[in-house]
Amino acid sequence: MRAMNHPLMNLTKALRNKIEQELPMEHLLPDRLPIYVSSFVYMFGILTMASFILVILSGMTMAFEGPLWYQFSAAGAVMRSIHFWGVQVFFFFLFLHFFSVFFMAGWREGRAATWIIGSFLLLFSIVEAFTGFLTQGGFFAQWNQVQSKDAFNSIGISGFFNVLNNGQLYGLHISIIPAILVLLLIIHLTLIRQKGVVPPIEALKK
Amino acid sequence: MKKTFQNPEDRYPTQPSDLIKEMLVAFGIAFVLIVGLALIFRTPFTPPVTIKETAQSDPLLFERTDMRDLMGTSALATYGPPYNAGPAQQAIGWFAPEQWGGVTNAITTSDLYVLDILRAASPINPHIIPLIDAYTAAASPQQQQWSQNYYAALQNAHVINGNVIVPAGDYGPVQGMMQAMLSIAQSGFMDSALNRTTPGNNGVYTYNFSRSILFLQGEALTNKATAAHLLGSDWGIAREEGSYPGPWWLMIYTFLYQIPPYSTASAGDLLVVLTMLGVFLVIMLLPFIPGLNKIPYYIPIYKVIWRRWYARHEK
Repeated sequence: MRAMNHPLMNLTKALRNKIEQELPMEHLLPDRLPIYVSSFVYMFGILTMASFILVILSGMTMAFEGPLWYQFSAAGAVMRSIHFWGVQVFFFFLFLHFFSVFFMAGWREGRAATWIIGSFLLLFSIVEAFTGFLTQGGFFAQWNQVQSKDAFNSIGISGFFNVLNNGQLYGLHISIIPAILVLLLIIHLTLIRQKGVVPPIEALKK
Repeated sequence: MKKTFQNPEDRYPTQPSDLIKEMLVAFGIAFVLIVGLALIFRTPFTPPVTIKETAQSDPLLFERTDMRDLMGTSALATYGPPYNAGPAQQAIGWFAPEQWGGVTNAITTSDLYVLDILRAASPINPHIIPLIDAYTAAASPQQQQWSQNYYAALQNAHVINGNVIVPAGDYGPVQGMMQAMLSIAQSGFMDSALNRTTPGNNGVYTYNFSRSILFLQGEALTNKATAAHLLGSDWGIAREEGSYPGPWWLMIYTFLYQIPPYSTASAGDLLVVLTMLGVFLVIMLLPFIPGLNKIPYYIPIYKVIWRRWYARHEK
């Protein structure tokens, strides 16, 4: 049984040790943060996430009730409007977050992975909104489907991903891409808490 | 044995904070902002365009579109991959991924949008059968001659009670075929027939409207988009209907379509896609790109963000 004590012999224990060592609870959910964390720019990321949650909740309601509900009923139209404006607000805060992190050079001191995951969050958010605009079911969606097909055709992937196929767009929009976004967001937040908030530029030299 | 791990935040003096409370406040701000905007402005919704509605509202436009498909001169008929064989329109020298993708959604416009529809409707209207027989029995030059005559005659045609009236001429069976096509389209049968025969659509799962939307993509959708200022040259998808904000985050993408070489090259779409791939790679790898990763040091916005820290340390 001695072999069980080796870290690699019990993967559960190895994972627990790793988490306890690299991301203890007091750093995952801290009640104290470094004093340089005092600016409204730190709210941009949180506001992006809050908008994301509202977009997900309104989207889930729409997926449950179905397209006829959100296109042709009064209550459905309100939920559709919340979903639409939620996306506008989400991208507004997302870009404020993006530019503020850029001007803080937030990738410094071992935080490049957080930045790279963030860039994929940006990419998949754009794909998610794109598939959403194309599944609105009206003329705007139809027109942009036929317009954007040329770009996908030009790289030869229309047999695999066909922007004219509403079923494929809908599946991507309500299931696959949101799942990817949530997963990337969990990794992004975990990395932020593990690496800590980036200190001011040249903070340690002063 | 246990490695001591120090969290980077432990190297600095700290102050009390409450992330969960901040999250709740942010959620409250986002809720008021989003629900407020939604209740005040609502969202635009223009119903989709259908072949039925197009054929009813503009019979001449319908017949022009259908004739181009019969003659094989429509944009779709000459598109190349993935819809039909022929050279890819999007290629940069030997680099032609459109060609490599192959014909994955094969469409022969004369069959799909004319002859197959007529055949499908012939059990209900047997008068169509001799028209198809006469057309298919004729040699290709004869077919083209009839079609060109009829297409030219559409310029002087009139619409009376939803029917297209052309001057007398040598149209062979084409005039009768188009009369039949128009009434089939006006009844809504053409939309249904196209979507029923689309591969992947089966029984109650009819999700793929590629074939009807590709029929409408030319004049029908373009006229409507021109009126709504939604053309690619008007910043395309980054614009919404009316004065609503659209997907403005795609502006870099649609901006490229406004400038040469993207706006003039035949492979414009391919160039735009490749450029956007490059833009994404630059953003993703920014921490490692010399020069670019130093921009924040030269533009001292960080001094504003951390002004309290620097004020404290300069004392």
